Amino acid sequence: MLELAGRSFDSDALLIMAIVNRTPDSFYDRGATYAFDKALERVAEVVAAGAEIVDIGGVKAAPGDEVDTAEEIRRTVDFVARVRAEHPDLIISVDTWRHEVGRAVCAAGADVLNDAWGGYDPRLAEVAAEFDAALVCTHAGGVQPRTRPHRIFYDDVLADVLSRTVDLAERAVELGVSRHKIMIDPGHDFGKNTWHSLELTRRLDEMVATGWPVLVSLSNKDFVGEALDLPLDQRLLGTLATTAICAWQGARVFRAHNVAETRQVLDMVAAIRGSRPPKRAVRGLA
Amino acid sequence: MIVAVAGCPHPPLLLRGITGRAVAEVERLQAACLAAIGELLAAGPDRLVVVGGAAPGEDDKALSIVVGRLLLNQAGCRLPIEHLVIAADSPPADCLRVGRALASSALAAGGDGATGLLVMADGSARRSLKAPGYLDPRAAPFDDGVQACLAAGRLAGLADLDPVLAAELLVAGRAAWQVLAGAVGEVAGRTTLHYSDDPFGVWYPVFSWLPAS
Repeated sequence: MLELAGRSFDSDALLIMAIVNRTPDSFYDRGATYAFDKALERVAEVVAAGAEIVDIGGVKAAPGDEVDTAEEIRRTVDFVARVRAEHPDLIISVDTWRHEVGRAVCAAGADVLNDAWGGYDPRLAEVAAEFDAALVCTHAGGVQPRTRPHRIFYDDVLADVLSRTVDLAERAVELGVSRHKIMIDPGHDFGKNTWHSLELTRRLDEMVATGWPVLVSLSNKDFVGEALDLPLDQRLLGTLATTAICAWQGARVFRAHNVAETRQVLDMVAAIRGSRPPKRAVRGLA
Repeated sequence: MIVAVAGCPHPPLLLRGITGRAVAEVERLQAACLAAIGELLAAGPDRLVVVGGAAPGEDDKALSIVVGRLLLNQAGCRLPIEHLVIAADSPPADCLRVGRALASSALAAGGDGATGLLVMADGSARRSLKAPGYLDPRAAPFDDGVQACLAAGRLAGLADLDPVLAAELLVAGRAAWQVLAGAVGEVAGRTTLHYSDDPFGVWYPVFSWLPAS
């Protein structure tokens, strides 16, 4: 069972966490939703397209211009409050590694803290406990936030992913985060080269077998680009293929840029799995 | 005696849950079927017989009977339900004989013999380019002939349906209609047509019939 913003989701539910960047420089949208109003429009669009969760970010993942805590708070907190007011039932996540930001956005109405840098700031989980928020425990290979992987090797990438994410999840429970509000994320491309991301995709069922709900963040990432040798604007099909493979193996939350397409893929997987009836089955039955 | 008749088609689409989510065309058809069965039950039968054709090897598990029982159930029927299964390729004379025997049994049942018939039958599956059997221009005239018999309340006219043409047109209801013709004979009656459409290229007639008293 997964509990987000007071709602329960069983293991058949496939949820979309739509990416909403309040950044001028994120890799995919390149600042398209940096402006407050543009970001707000983006939220309305992704909700209409079928996203259950929005993941609001104030700092791009890759290296770039310094964004300090005050600036990250400036970009995220008022925006979270506005989204909360306009979409009372929407599940709001904030992508941050800083506990100060976590505290401010939870006070403004965020439901989920997406700790995409793997517990770099150990106090972020304490904030989740303090606000009874949900927490995403991600594998980033122990690297510093906003760094690129450089000559990182694992004996067994999935073993490292499992041990780090499960440790983070168990630690969060000890700190008081509800067991039903924790997701684990293998952190595709974070502290990993393309071979690593492909392997953990292939073996995602081992992560699902831990029993923790698995979130995957695949959207348009470099491992898709390198697997197909395609630039950023041509990675949607590769992303969707990866989405289907992860869903089939039991991933439950999908962080995505392209919400309508992702919804269609997840609905199709659910129909194949038998957890969701076809919308209209009449062929051969008249 | 036979106190009332209802006629419904038996596409698998009427089976519970088979369309996935609800499909509007099927819901309309089902509502019409329940209305026709409602009139059948309102006539106060003591026993109910579901008449349906069976493909070779189908017998009591015939789709026509399964759908008929389900509709009766959905209409809240509490009466014991009997089945009369007729091979879908039976010659008309056999169908008529079976129908007459059914009428006799209804008479022989005496005071409690008020019999209601639910006749499961549908028309051609070749009514359009997208129909299951593709378009056959003879389909519409054939179905129109059936509808004319039903609308006039003269069910005996169904005895004249051509079994060869019916088979070529993928008409699943011919044998059951001819059992009905045999059962009702020349008794005149009044028909209410609750539905007549082909949303998926198969003609679905839904009717209720009461004998003129």
